[in-house]
Amino acid sequence: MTPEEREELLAAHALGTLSAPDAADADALIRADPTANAQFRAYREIADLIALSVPLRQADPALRERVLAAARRGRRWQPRLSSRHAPVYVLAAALAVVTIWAATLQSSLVQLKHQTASLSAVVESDAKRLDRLAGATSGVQEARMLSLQLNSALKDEQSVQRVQADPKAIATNLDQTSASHGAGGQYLSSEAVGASVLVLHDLPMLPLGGAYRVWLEDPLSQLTLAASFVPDSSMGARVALQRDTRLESVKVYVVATSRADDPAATGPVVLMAKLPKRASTP
Amino acid sequence: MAALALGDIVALELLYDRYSTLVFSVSLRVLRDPQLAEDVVQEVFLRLWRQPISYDPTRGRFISWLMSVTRNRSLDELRRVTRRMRSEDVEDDEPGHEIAAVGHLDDPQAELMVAEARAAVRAAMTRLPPAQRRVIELAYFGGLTHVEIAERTGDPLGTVKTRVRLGMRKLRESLAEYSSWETDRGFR
Repeated sequence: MTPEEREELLAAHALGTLSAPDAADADALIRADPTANAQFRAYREIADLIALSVPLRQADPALRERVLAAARRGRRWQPRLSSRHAPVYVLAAALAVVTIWAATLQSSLVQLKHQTASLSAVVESDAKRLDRLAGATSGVQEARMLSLQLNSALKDEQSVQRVQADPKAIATNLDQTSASHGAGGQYLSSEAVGASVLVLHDLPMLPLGGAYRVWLEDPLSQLTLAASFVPDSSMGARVALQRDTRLESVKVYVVATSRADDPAATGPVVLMAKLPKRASTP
Repeated sequence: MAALALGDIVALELLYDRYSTLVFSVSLRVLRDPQLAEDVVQEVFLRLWRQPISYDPTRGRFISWLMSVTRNRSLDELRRVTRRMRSEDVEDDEPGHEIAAVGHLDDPQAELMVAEARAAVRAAMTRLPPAQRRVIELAYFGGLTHVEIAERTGDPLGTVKTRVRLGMRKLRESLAEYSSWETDRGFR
């Protein structure tokens, strides 16, 4: 291929005028040759600028309010929750059921107290017993939740240590973004352990009540919440990510969120990485 | 973008005020239909609102990404409605009257930089020989391939390829100083 033919191919690819087979050839050239890659990027920037040559036209002023109203109505980015978070939500739901049950009974008892004065003593006695019962039930649930959280933390710590000890673990440096402010880290993936670990340092401070979230993107661009964490006192963290066997993750994002208690809250991407393909499993 | 990612509707308002005219104008240039172009504007900004993570700052400037998303979405819509009677007639035949400024901007310096970049791009396009300019516009705004452009213009395929190459090279030379412009400061 002559330099002119090569330039022709790359300029046309940047403009999007190639047929599918020619575009595939151009992509292969761009991947294989850094000079071609740089030349393509330069042409791509020029192609992007062409949009600015349009004569400006004013859209219907009412469109602004339609867009904003749709944004206010619409759901924000709703990630799927991974299965490892399910037990906490199941417990929370169970706790809510118990609370509602107790509240309903309390309400019924109050009503009875008004209706029959002679039964008030009995009712009050029952109410106290119910309070104790609800309190005890709540205590058991909390203890179970704490136990689950401790077990999960212990399992995560074991995963972190095993992945970090695996000499064959593959390390991928995380890319910084404009929100990184000096943060950095690595994504370690261990085939042997079947888990991955994020080792992070110098994370930006979070607002009160905030948390970091780790999102994994699969080849179908679906995002899955893989972990939530709060950095340690030196603004570092080691986060274990259990492997999702359904689809291989192709990207990882570390996102700062201002509301730890809201699973749907999003925030700026602080670190991210394109993940290497893992070895095929038999 | 960070404020947008945190769910701040004011950030969306700001982005809309800053870029909606440009997004609408690009979409209108492709689609030649104000209603369809408005649909694209709505989709582009709602996508930004619902999936702010879809913009990856490490891959380039925000406005480049926004223009690329707008163009692609508009071309998808164009193909969907199979209106193939656009794009060969250049410039001022879109509905409505041309306006002077991109939008109501909160940042006069950003507005000035956008205006300067627009003026430079339009001047560079105007300086191209008409045949080169036409093939580039057919490709960019019409989404046509080399072969489709050749069919449309009646020119030999080789001529079309050469015109694209020469036109792009001239644009690259003319716009060297703008290829790394920073109109999106504060939005990355």
